[in-house]
Amino acid sequence: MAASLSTVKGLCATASKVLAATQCSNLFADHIAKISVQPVRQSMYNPKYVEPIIDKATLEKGLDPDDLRRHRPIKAPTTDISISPLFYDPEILKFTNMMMKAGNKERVREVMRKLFENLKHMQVEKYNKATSESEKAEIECNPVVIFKQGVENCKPLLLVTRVVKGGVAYRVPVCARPNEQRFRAMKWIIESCRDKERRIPMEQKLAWEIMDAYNNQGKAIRRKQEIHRICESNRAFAHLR
Amino acid sequence: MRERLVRVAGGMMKSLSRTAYLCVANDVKQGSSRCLSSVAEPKQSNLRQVFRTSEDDPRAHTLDHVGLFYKIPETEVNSMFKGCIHPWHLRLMNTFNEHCLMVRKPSVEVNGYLKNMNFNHPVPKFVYYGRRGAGKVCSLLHTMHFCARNDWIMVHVPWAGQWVRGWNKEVAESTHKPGRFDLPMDAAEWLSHFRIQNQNKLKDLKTTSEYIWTKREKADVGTPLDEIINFGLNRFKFSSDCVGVLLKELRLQAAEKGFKVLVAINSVNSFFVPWSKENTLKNSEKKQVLPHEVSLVHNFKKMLSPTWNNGAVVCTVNEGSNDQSLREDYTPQYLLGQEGFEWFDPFVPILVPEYSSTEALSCLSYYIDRNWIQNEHGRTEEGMKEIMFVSNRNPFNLYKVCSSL
Amino acid sequence: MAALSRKRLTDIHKHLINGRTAAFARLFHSTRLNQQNEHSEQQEGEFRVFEIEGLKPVKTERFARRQKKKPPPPRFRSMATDQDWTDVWPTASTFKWSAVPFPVRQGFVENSSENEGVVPAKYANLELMKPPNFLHLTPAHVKKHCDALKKFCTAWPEGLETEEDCRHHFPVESVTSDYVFAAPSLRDDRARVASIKLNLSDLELDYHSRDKFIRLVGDRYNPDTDEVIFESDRCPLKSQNLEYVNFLLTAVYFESWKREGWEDQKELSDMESYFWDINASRKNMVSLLRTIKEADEKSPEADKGLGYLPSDVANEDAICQLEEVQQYKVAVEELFNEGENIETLNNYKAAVTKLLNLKSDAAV
Repeated sequence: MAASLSTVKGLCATASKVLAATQCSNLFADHIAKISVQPVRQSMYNPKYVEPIIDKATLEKGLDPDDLRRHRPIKAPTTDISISPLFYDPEILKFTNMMMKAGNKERVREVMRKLFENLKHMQVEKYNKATSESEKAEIECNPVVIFKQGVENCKPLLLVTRVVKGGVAYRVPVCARPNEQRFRAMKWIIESCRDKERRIPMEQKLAWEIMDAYNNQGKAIRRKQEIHRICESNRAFAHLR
Repeated sequence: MRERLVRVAGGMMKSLSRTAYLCVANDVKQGSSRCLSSVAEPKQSNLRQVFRTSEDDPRAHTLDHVGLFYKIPETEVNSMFKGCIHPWHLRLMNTFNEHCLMVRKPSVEVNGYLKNMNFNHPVPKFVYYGRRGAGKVCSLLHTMHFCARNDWIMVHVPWAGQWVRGWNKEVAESTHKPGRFDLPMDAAEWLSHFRIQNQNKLKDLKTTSEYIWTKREKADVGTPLDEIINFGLNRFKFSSDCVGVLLKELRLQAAEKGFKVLVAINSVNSFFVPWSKENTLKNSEKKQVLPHEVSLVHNFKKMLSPTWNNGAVVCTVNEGSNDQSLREDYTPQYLLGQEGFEWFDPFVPILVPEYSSTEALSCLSYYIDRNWIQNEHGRTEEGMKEIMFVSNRNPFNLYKVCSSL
Repeated sequence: MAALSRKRLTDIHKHLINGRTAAFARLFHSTRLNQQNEHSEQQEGEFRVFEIEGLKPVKTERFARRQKKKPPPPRFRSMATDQDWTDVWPTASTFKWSAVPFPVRQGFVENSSENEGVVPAKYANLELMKPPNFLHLTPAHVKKHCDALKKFCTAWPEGLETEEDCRHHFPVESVTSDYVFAAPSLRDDRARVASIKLNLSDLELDYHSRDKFIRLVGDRYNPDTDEVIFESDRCPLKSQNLEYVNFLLTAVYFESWKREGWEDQKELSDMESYFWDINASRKNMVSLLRTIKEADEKSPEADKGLGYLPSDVANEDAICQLEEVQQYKVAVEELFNEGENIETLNNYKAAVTKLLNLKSDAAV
């Protein structure tokens, strides 16, 4: 595992210089805009439209008389952007939407709620039954943390793209962009759950899968490792990209 | 675990958002391992005092204890409360490694009535009613605990709706009376449930009259009730009749022998309101079997009539047990229907309301103490206020909202 | 004579065609002047100078165009604030932007490119012109109409000042409509419909007759407003329909006062509201109290028995006259008739606890 990681590191280093420049501009934007997700498609809004204010304190204070927002139309805030950290998390939202079928958000929200409940049941039971403080310190009870760490562990560093050269289609390893990494990780988790037995509820399968991913085990982790292996074996073609 | 995170953060090309997340993860992990963040620590000691009570005996609970959690010992949970608690509640209790129940005003009130009542009078009837998830079953549990500590005999029906639903059940013609129908499996299940609940109290009870099952089998005068239960469990065919015999004996002997009987029925409105036609019980001719034609139901209804004394009847009415079209209101007269009301009348309706703000705060403090609310914002005062608002302080909704936090 | 240049000729043609005699006269005058000049040169015997066309700028008389008539300022600019509006707008007419003195906007703009994103004003606004306006019916207009009509009216009768007085003296209200049809025949079918309206409380009815009246009348009675409306269109003439409807009222009224034999067969399910005395609740209560009395006599417990029960419980009516039982009866009837709400349920609970002497330390 360590060896493959270092080779992957090497591959990344070559490509990193190329992409570093483009990434730099994104780094600070990411850091600042923690709440908003990176847009996938172009905005449909007229450029004149201004972002809405959601923070209650700012709303109560009111606008300055010379503030531009007095004379400009304002974008509508989406349902998901609430200021409550209780219910809104962009990563979890992304995962929920990816799991959703035919727009049935309610069903998927229930699955997510039960998923976090399952994770908590698993961990909090262990925690409450653990006797020593050191044991308790080892156990992670926050389901969101487990979920995010699980997804993080599933994220591939490299992916393969199909490059046709001289009539031959090569699978070329390429550095995965952050959006792609996240998408792939979540997709693998969901797919490996859907492959399991149908009678078991999805929240149960997901709970197992995410706990496995948290501990670097399981089907989704194996898929990531497979991709890394393919990249490793095809590293000769890296110059094609 | 932490070393792995550090290695990944090492030399890899990745966006800053990932490092930001990792830093956050570390902080939160530390926070949870200490069970609190440093901000919440000074508050914790205050909160701890607020939501728990060391008074374990429900007999001693008064209005001062309202909103506080008291612990039920393991032995009682396995004996008396087996099969009584909702599965989600039981799972929560197992995770918390303790079985705690909140003391609430409706059950304290009913316990007061039971303490002061005149046992020579015919049985008084109490009905817990309230919105879905308001805590009717938990109030019933508290009353049952109170009675069990006072050595009453428990006649408890976990969910009356089970006896009225179809679900491809075996329905047999009654051995005792033609025109009635038996549910062998359900009756046997109830008999074993009854036995577990009243483990040590059935020793001295014996039948007062003879019961003939078949030409060759009969129960003589003076058969201990334990044997009748055994007979019912072994011979499924007669299990419903055994239930009837048991209940009849309890009614007759309650006053004579001096023991008290608590009849606790969950969602008693299923006895009176027929279930939907698609899913209902069907007899061998594929015709619908109405509730009053089921022998189990018939026998239990006799327990509700004021012909016996030295006991009490405490029930809940559940709108979820009624058919879809008859779920508009949660009030007792609507749910019982005309027939049910006349059977039950006069009864004392006890409203089980949603949590008050103190009760809700106590519940949330309990969840925080048990490490159930992991979200940092959820542990703050503002977060708790938001949870209370979103769930409208309904106990079940509160649990649902907190389960994802 | 020098030939007139081609241009000048065409000009003349144009003017002739257009018929602008003044311009033509001027042109003719200028050509004659030129001719005179040329004439004078020849007379002197000087060498004729060759005029190169286009070298010297030719002064062409510009034909002064008719000044476009400037539109006068809109009328509302010069309107006084204390003018008589009824003179400005005497009858119903289309919205005239220039005559309306107040600013008004109407219309929809889809985006900011249309009319700069502002709702259009009244100048040439079709949306304001299309719908009917009521500028001919302002309070000033109405006052003038009323003043004009006053001499044709009689005084409002005395004793009918308020609505209640009207209802008291004229409880029955008849409603009819007249129609004029825009077709070769003026008649409209709807004109024969006649109806009468009255309040049920204005009729003299006792409990039984009121209940019977409502059952007979059915949908025609509105329980929220306590109104009965009899409507008819079954006769060809309006007067006939009115007579029929009056007949209906009379018939139903007198019928409801009669008591038929079959009415005694009324069952519990037919009852219009819940009566405790005829329902099972009373029987249950009586038998319960009797049982309690027996139990109390057998083993009396101080303060826990039902002290209010009389020694003789054989008499059912005596039991039902007891205060506690009456309270219970009222509570049960309320529960059924008024529906269940917190108040009725609490009353019922209080009644039952009092009846059965149930006490709790934690009771409210």
